[in-house]
Amino acid sequence: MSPRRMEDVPEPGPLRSGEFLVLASLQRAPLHGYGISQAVRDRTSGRVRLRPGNLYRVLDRLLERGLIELADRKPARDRDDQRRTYYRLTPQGRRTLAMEAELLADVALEVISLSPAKA
Amino acid sequence: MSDNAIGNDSPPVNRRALRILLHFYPRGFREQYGRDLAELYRDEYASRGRLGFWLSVTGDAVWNGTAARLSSVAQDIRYGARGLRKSPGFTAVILLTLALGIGANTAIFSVIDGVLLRPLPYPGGDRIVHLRQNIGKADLNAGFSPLEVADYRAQASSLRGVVEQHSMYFTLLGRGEPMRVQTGVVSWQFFDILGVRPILGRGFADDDERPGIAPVVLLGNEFWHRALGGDPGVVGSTFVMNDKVHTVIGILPSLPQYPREQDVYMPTTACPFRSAEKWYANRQARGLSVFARLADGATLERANRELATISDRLRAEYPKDYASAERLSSSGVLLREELTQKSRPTLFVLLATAGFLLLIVCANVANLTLARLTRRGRELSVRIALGATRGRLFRQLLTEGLLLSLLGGAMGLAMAHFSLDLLVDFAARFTPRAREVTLDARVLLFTLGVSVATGVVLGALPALPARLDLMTWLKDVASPAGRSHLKLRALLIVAQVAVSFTLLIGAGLMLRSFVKLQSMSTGFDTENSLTAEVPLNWTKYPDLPKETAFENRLLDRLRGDPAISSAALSSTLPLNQNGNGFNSDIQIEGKPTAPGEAGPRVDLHLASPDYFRTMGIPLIHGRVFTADDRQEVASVGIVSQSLARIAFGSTDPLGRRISLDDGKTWISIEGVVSDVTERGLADTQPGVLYLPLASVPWTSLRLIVRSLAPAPALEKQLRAAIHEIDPDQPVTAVRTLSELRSESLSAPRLTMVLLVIFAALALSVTAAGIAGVLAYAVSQRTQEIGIRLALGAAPGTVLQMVMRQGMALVAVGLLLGFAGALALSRLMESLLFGIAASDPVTFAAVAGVLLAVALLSCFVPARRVMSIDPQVALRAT
Repeated sequence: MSPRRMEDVPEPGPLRSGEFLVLASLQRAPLHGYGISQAVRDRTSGRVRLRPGNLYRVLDRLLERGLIELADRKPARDRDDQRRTYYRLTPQGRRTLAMEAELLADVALEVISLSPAKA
Repeated sequence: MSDNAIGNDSPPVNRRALRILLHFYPRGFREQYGRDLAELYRDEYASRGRLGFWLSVTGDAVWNGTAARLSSVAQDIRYGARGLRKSPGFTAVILLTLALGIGANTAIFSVIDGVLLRPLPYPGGDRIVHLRQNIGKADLNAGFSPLEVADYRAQASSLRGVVEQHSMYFTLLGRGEPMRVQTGVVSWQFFDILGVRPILGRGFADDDERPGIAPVVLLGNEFWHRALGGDPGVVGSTFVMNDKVHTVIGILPSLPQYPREQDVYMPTTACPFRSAEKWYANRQARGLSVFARLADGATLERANRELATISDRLRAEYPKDYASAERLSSSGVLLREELTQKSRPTLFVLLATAGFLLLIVCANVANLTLARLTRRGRELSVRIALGATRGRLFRQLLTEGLLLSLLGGAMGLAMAHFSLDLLVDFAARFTPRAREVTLDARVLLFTLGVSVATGVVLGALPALPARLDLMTWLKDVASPAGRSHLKLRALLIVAQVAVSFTLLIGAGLMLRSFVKLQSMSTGFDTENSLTAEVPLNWTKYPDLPKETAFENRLLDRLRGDPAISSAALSSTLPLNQNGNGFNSDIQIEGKPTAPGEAGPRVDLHLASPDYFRTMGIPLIHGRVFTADDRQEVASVGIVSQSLARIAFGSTDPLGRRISLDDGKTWISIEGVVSDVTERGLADTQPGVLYLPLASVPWTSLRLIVRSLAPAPALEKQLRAAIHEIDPDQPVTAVRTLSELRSESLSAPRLTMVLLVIFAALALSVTAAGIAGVLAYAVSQRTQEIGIRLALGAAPGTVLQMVMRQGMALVAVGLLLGFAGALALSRLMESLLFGIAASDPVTFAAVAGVLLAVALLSCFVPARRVMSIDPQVALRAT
């Protein structure tokens, strides 16, 4: 692991959409990279596809901010994927995800209520 | 990274290619995520075609790899910046020091670049040649006559477009107060050959030089701005200059002008003297400056060989026009060299000084960085323990170094920006190219280069001694007991002292040389006197009687003023660095010169009867001029003491005769006056022959008045007196004699001030460095000192021990600096006056100053020893 993790204090700040989606995909259970990219695709009905390089840069940032961490224990059903690294939410990641979701929900509700198609 | 990061059981995807792609990511990233990334790529391979897969994977790796690299650099910067913010005192000191070092270098480089490095601002300007017709072996240029210009133009195949220029002044009337206009009289192709085009209007055409055509002028850019406010409407308007109306046809761009700055330019036919037969048809009527462009493929050497051949040929063809005594020979010098020659030694000394200052600054900043590294010991130890790689730590140090040096560089640039006007003023005393000095892209690039280099040195220096084993060394530095860095810091101090000493010697030599210059006697009384230039309109005063009438009226009028004790007119004023260009060989009666030899060359100086009294030049022997010394009465002259010595040795010069025209007419010596610094305080003085003003036609007059009260108040009266006699008479350059003296010293004074400032900066930076290192050493040895004190050592003895430790470094630095200064000070020999480059007084004094400052900066931290309480020190063990 690169040494810079030790010095950097997690900085609070808004989540980018990729970061939000990755956090959301980890809400139920720890996942590995491929699992996360599948989960993101499924959750967004195939509209968002995180490219591998981008996915790992997002993971790198989330690790750095202390929102996710490496999961030691891997789910038993994924026996095939034992050699892959699994990630899970930290308590802070969980809180941040919830706050961000609430914020987005508020905005989304207001948008829907004002949209002409609905009126 | 390890090979197995890719995974060994990937399906038939080309693992090697994949591994190469992963190299787009930074190493740390690759180490951490490489294996998983490869897995992900493998998953993609299963879901895509071969081509689609490679295209997409390559795009992904290039894009995200670069982004990851950038964000890792950004992270280093953020981290570095945070570290610097945490210790604002340290950061401020370092930034200020760096700003001084880089700012000084930027400023000096901008001058060197504008003056010496850049090509002349004419297209192909590096092929423009200034032709000289040298008199004998002396470095004197006789110039060319119009007939000679025509011959060289026709015969020199290695030159293209041989063009001439000479200087005149005119009186510009009808635009407010009458103005003296410095005029360059040039061949019509002059600006075409230089490659200069007017920024407004048109240039000269061959028609403009046809005799009898309506006179036209081109305006110089500076004159256009200064006198006419840069009004573009002036093109097409008319100028009344002397008695003629000239039409302004264009405005020239801003350019370095040589041999002198001109206000306006006109073609040769517009100058009544140049178009008079006695000039244009007289091969001996020399004095024109001549320029040419090297023909395509021609070199300066070839041109010079050809010029020598032509001058031999002309001498053979017109023997009576080339007096054998003068041995005229023509040659060419690149205009670029000639424009910058005078500035070269000063600028190189300044560049070297600024460079040394930067070295000291670097050493000091490196020292501070090392000290800080030690304070960051715990943090570094943690990072090393956590497995920070060598490269990673090095990169962090480098980033911090660069961050500091770039910020310092930006501040330095700002400092250079604010000092630019001063620098241009400074450079203008040495070269007409001064106004080309700017802070442009080239200077910015230089500053960036210096900043980056400084940053790299700062970042790499702490790691330098441990190139082989950085980790062990860093651990050593990081541990409070580590000693490696103390050695390095001691070494830096030695270097700083050595370089400071060299700089101080440079400044010291300049200072002493300036004091010597300052104390030189001018030979005249500079107090309570005012001078002015009174350039008579030569159309209005076309002959000697009219000139003399004006002169007498003016002097009578001024003598009647109770505030003025005496007044005089002359052809030139002393301390005129270029001389007045009015000089001649003399023949001494009864002392014929050998064939091919010329008599002594003297400066000619016209003076009214009261000149010597007004200037305060003592008469040594004989008499001064009287009102009776007029052209039609007798030819008389007064010689300076040195001319008397050169021409007549120890014999009495009174009554002896000398001739300026090969014995056709003779001038009888009536008096000897004491020597005056005619050409500047530092110059060796030529012999001066004074002639009565009333004996030679001369319109470019200098007025000198001596007053009972401080002189500057007299300016109004002076102007009033002149305008009462002739309201159209310009009065310019009103100055006191002491101002004249001070101006003549401005170039050495400014060089001296700059060197002293640089040296003072170097000294204070070094003193701070010594104090810092010693303070650290004391804090490291607190326990040891505590034990010594507890065992009964006297505090005074311990203090001495610590002082010795500091002064030992200073002594070594001083010795090295001594050798360096001895070698380098020779380079500034040409800037010195009256002292040798190895002047022992300067060396001793500078060593004294440096030792005193070093003692003080050792004493301050060493004094802490006295306050160490043995009990406390021992308890801390």
